[in-house]
Amino acid sequence: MPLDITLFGIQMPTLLPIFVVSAVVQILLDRVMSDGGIYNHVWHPGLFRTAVFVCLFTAPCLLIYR
Amino acid sequence: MGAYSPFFVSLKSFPWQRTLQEWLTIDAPVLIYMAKTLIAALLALWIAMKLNMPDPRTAIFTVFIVMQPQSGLVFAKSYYRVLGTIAGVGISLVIIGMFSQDPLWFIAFFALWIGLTTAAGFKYRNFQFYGFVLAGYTLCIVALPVIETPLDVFDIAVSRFSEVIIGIMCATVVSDIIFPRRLLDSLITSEQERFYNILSTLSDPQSVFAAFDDANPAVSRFSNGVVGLNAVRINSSFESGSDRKGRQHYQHLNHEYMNLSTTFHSLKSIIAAIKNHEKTEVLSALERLYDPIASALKTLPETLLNPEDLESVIRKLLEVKNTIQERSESEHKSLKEGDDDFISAAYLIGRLVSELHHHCATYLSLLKHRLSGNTSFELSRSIRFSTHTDNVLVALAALRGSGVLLLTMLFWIWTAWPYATLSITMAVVIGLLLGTLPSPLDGVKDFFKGALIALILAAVYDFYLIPAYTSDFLTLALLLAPTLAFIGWMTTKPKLPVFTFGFVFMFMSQCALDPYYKIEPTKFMESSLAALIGILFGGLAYLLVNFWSCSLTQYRVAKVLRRQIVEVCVGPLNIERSALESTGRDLVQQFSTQGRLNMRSSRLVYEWLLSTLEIGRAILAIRRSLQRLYRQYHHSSIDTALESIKEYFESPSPLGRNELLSILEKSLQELHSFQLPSQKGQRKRIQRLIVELGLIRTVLLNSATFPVVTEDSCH
Amino acid sequence: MNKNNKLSKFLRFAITFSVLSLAVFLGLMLWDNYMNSAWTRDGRVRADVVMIAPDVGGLVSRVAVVDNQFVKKGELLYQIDEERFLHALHEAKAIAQTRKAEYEMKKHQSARRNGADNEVVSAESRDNAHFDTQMAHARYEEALTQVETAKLDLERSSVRAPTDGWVSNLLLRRGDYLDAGEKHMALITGGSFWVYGYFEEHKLSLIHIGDKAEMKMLGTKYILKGHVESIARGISDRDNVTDGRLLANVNPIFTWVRLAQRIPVRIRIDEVPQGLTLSAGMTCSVTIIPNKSDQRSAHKQ
Repeated sequence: MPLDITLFGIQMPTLLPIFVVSAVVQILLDRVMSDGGIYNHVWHPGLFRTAVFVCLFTAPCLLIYR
Repeated sequence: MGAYSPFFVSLKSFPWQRTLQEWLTIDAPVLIYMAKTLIAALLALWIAMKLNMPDPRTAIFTVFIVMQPQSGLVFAKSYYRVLGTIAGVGISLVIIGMFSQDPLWFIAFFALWIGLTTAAGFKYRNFQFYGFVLAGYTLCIVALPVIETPLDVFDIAVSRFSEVIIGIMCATVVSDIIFPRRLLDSLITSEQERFYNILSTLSDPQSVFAAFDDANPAVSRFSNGVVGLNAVRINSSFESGSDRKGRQHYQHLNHEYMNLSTTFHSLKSIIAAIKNHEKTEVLSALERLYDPIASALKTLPETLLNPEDLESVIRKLLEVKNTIQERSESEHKSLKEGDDDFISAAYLIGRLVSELHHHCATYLSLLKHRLSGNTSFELSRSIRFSTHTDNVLVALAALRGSGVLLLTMLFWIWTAWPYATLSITMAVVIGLLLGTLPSPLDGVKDFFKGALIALILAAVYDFYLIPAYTSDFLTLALLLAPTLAFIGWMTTKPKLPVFTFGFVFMFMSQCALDPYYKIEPTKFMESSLAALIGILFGGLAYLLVNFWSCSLTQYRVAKVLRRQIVEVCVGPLNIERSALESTGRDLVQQFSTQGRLNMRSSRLVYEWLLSTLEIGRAILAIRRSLQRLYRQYHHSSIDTALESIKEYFESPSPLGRNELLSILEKSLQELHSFQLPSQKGQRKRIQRLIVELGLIRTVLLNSATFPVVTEDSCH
Repeated sequence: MNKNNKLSKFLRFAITFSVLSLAVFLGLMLWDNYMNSAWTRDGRVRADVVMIAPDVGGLVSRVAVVDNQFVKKGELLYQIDEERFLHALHEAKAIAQTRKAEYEMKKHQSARRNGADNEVVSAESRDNAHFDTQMAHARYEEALTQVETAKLDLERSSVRAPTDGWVSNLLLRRGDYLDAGEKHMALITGGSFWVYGYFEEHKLSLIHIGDKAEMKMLGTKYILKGHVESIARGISDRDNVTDGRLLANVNPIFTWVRLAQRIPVRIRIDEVPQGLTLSAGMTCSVTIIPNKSDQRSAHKQ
């Protein structure tokens, strides 16, 4: 994947759109997980949620910075 | 041997455990919260500086704005802050792009936007309001400094947005990870409290049959908390533990609680009327009717409920519901005269039981859901909490917002003072933020005090502490820590929110938190002066555009409530009762915070609300029954009754009231004399018509307080 | 029951911590890769620019090129009015002829005096005639050089391209008056393009001369290939701007958080993709591809 991306003539690091996309994915995933009751089975929901987000964000980013 | 000395004895007898317990429950959360705020703030500052943002103060300021003890509140506030910032940044790009060369259009568009956001902020509840504040205020922050150099607007917009995001990320992550306190927990406790309150109130016949009494806290508490708890429910949905089923349960509980409370109050007002007319026979019959309810509830334990207990109560309530129907008929026959009051009151008691039964069942389902994850029954649909805002209030707020902007703009143009843009920003913030306070002028005073103290402190920091003792980020953080922790402590104090806000606002904008430190006393003085002038302008706007008074409020409330009844009479039939209830309650809540009501008049307004709700509900029930009634049983007298109710509430007069009462009387008599149909469903519907119509008549006849301004309770 | 409870408690911890450790691992990896990959978004295409100025002053009588035109070396760029130089040449030539005649005369005179008897012409007068001839010859030579200068001026009045390249930002118009040495036209030397990548100082250790580099042009899919030619050996110190009296002027306070400065790295372009028009000043992001053998040897050490 390219290091940076051009949207509407603005050059920005690809990290930025990845961040936005993973935030949206995270929100959807959060809805699903709380409705599915997954948060009842983890020790620290907040920590778990943050960790999931970090994973969501870093995994695609690692494709860029190999 | 030391253990025998009196000191150690006293040490031993000292209630260590309780002291520790108390410290853990009361003081520790505050300390933890302060630490969390401090960590989040410094983290935001560090990241913003590390990323070379031009204005790291925005990030740290954002942290203080969104930081709340409970993480649900943080999420909710952050969400709306992001939305507001996006809107503000977007509109500033547009406004600078289109009008930066043309002062007239620029100012006009600017004022329009500020007016719009003020109005919208007024119209929406909770943190949505905050989103609109941000949308207006961001325009000032982004568009005003670049008016001379319009090309910079993009840079400022992007950096402003990134700083806000940094602050929000820090605040949300820190509050959700380090010792999180969940809003959901407080929602659970307050819901529980409310439920126990209902049960204990209803288990005591005295609370139903005694007169209205302000000294009895349980009764007055029965009425409030609907709107507030709804807000808590909305905000808690941002948290990790909240799921769709739980949210639906809370919605239903809130809705059922509203119904219960309306029924309860109607019952009470009818009973008060019966007492006034000294119909002791009726009263004792009603008391006998109520007895089984009280005895069914008496068996409950005082504190913790478990599902088994609740299930037995529900079973009992179901029995009571069935017996009450029979009992009321037998009691009615034993009474000498056919008393309409009794029919209405008995009907209300029946309704109370059935609603209580529903409420208990929902609560049981929630309990089960929380304990084991499966509900006892599926809830049919989600209920919307409808809101209503008075357009005059909104228009007034918009007028004030735009007005103060134009005023400060004039000040800016007239003095050509470069720092006057700060005054504009400040005045706009005041206009946006304090508009929804009960007394904005006191708010402005508090804000001013906070700002002044912050200015002094910022001066100490800027000209003494920072130049003398800091050399890198660590020392800067150490120096800032006490003040930041102090701000964190202040935000936990509900008594001084506006003072705190003024303090935070001024301290953050004046303290030298730039990536590079510069000593600029003249700039400091000038910008401080500009900000204080801005606050004064904001206060001036509240002083001038402020013809809101108690009697005006009463007038408006009465008008809106009456319109609601008229709407119910002629509007579409698919209005839910929940919509009627929540709209009315939200409206009254808003007016009572806005409208400068005194104790007596707010009591009056509340009673208006209840009678409106009761009448509206009854009209809806009548119209629904009429729809299902076969044509041959239709009676013209009901239509005339409805028509005259509508006419009366469109243009009330004392004369009209008597006329209406006689019309109702007439149609009731006609209905009574009517031959009841043999078919069971149809007969029930006609009986229902009689009961509801009688109820309307009783409400109109008995309570002197329905939304018609007859007396002025303001003075 | 109790066992089950313990197991579920353990599971709760296990789930949280497995996801947490995965997050920490990925985060650290990303951080490491981010910090240790030599790339920058701050790259600029640059080129040698020749600033064209006329050698002689005068009115511009003709501009022979249009804006952004490619010119070959020696091609006419613009013409300064020649007439004055023609006149000067004629004048110089006339003077030369006069001088030549003078010289001929003196030479003749001297030869005549040389040939005459000693009694008729004094030795002094003979000597005089001899030196007069020499002087006249020198003057003639001088006049000849002036002719050459006039010729050169005439030639230089047509300004020609010193190298192959593109005329850029042509503002010169017929009728402009130019002083000698006044710069009026930029010529971007063809094939002289290179890229300056501004790298944060901590990344310099990852960059070696000769490393392959890829440049992605802003907003296009084109990728330029090149290699590191050299690394700048100095940038100015922002915290110490020398004052008028050459004394140090040090900032009293440093930034709270240190930020990496950027050092220019010069990259020679080896390969320009087909279809891409390079212009000096274009933005690109530069990625340095570390030399594999280098890395291996570094690991061995």
